[in-house]
Amino acid sequence: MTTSQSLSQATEQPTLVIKNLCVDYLLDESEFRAVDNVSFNINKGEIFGLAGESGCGKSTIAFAISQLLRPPAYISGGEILLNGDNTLTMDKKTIAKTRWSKVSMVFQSAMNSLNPVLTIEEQFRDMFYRHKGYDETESAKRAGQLLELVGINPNRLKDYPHQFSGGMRQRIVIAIGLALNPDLLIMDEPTTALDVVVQREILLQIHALRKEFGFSVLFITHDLSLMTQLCDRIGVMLKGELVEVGKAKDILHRPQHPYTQKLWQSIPAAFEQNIAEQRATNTREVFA
Amino acid sequence: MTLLNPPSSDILVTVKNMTKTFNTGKGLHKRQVHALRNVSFELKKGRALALVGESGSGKSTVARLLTRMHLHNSGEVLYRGQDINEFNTHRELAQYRKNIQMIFQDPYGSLNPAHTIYHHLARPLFTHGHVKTKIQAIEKVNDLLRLVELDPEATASKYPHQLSGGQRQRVSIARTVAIGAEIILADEPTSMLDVSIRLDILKLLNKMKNEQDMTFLYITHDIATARYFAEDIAIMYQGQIVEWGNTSSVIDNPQHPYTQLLLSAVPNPHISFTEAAIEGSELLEQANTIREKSMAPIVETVEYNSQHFYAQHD
Repeated sequence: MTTSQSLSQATEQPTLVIKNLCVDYLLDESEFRAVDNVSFNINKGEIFGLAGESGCGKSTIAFAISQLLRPPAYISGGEILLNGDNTLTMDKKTIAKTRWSKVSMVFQSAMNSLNPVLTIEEQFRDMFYRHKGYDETESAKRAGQLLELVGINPNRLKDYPHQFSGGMRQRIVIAIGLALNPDLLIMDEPTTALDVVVQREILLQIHALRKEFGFSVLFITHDLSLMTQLCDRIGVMLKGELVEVGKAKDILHRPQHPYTQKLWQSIPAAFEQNIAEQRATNTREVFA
Repeated sequence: MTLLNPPSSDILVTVKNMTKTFNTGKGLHKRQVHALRNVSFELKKGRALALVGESGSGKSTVARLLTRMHLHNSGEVLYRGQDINEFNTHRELAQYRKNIQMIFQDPYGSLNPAHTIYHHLARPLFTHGHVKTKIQAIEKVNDLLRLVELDPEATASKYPHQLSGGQRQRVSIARTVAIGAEIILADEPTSMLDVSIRLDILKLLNKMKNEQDMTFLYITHDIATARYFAEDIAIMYQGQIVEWGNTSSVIDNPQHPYTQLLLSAVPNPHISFTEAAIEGSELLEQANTIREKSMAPIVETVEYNSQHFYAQHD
C-alpha cells in the first residue's frame, strides 16, 4: 500500500526538499561542520525517518528546517524548499507565519515545554490568537476538538499540565502541533522519555491522524527498530553526512552502507524470529 | 510465591514478600505510595535476573532496598541466609555493601568531575584494604582498566569529562569490581548510551558474568537487552511482580495480560506499523482495563511450566 501511495505521489511536489544543506558551528578559530551536504525529500503524507547516534546532526537538520538555529550555528549552504518556497530567503514575517501553520515541531522533552502556570486551554490560546486571531471562546472550542483528536477528554481543558501524566502531556503537545493543520510535523525523539505501551499508543494516533489529514512527518529517533516499523523511508546519518537513504524495508533487509549494517548488528533482537534472522545475517557475513 | 530453584544453583540473595511504602505530602495532602507490594525473587550465583517494567513500577526501589539505602517495611531480604536488617554495626554494613554494588544509569553523574579515573578506582582499593602501597594500587588499577577493555596508560590519568559515555560506564563497572563486589545491581546501565555502544557494554557485563561468576540484577525497560543478557526475567507493574521465569519462555509465551500488552508494544522492525496496528489494536483497546486489573493485589500464582510463573488478580 505504501509503495503504490508513494508512486502516485511521485509526480506531485514534495512537501519538503532539502538540497545540499550544510550547517556549521563557529568555534574559536575554526568551524565545525555539523551537517554536511545533506539532500533528501519528504513526499506528501510520507513519514520520513532520520536515524543516527547522538551528535550526528539529525536534530540540527530539524532546527534548520524551522529556522530555529541560533548562533554559533548557521546555515552555510544549500536550500530548504517547503512546498516549493525557499525558507532560507524568506523575510522574518513570512517565517513567523510559516512556523506552526506550515511546519510544527514536537521535541523530545516536549511534555516539559508546556507552561506550568497556564491551563491547557491557555496554552492553545496564544497560538490561535497570533495565527488565526481567534477569541477566547473560539480558541477553547477548537482546543477541545483537538484534545478529542488525541484521545483526551475535552472537559480537562481547565486543568494544569502537572495534572496530566507524561504520555498525556506529550499528546497535548502533539495536539498543539497539529492545531493549524501543518503540512509537515517534525518529531524529534517524541517518545524517548515514555514507556513502550504509551509510545505505541501515541504513535498509533499519529499514524491514524496522518491518514486522515495527509500531513508529512519527519521522525527523528535513535531507535532503529521503531523507525523501521513506523516510517515509509529512512535516512541514516553518520557524522553530519547522510550515508544511506532507502525504503524502510530495504534498510532492514538490504542495508548497503557498512554503518547501517553495524547499527543493526548492535541491536539485540527481542523476539524469536528476529533472533534467528540476526544469526543468519551474521553467519552470512562471516562467510562472505 | 514459589520460585524456580534449580538444585545446582547457589542462591546469594533471597527476597521474600518485600514491601515498601513511602509517605509523601504533608497535612491534608498526606498520602502513601505503595512502591513495592510482596515482591519475592532470588539472585543466583553467576546468573542475571532482569527486572523489567515501565517507569514508576518500582524497579529502582528494589535496588535501593537491596543496598539498604532505604529500609523495607515488611518482608525479608536474606544475603547468604542472613537477614540484611541485622547488619547493624558499621563494619557489618560496610562488609555487606562491599559485596553488593550498583551501576547507575547516568555515567556522567556517577563519577566525580574533579578527580582522575585513577582516583576513582584506587580509593575503593585502599578503603577496603585490597592494596597497601601506591605501587600496588597503580598495578591493580591498570589490571581493572584492562579488564573493562580500556587502555590503562591513556585512561588512568584522565578526568571523567575527557571520556565518552561508554568509557565512563566502563569505569563505573571497573569500580564495582575494584571493591570486590559479587553482586552487581545494574540500573539501566545502557539506556543513556548510544545504540552502537550499548551492545559492547552488555558484552562486557556478560563476560564478567560468565568468566568471573558475577551475579547481576539487571534493571531495564528494554526487553531486547534483557533477553540478550539475562537468564531469568521478572516483569513488574505497579510494585508487584506479575510474571517471572526463564527469559525466553516469558518473552515467547507471555501469560499475564500486562506482559502481553508490554510485549505487543515493543517495536519489532519486521512487522510494519499498519500490520502491528491491526494485530495489537485489541490489546491496546483494553490497555486501560488491563492496567486497572493488574493494579489489584495478586491473589494466586500459576505455574505455566517449571521455569515460568504468572500472577492472577482478583
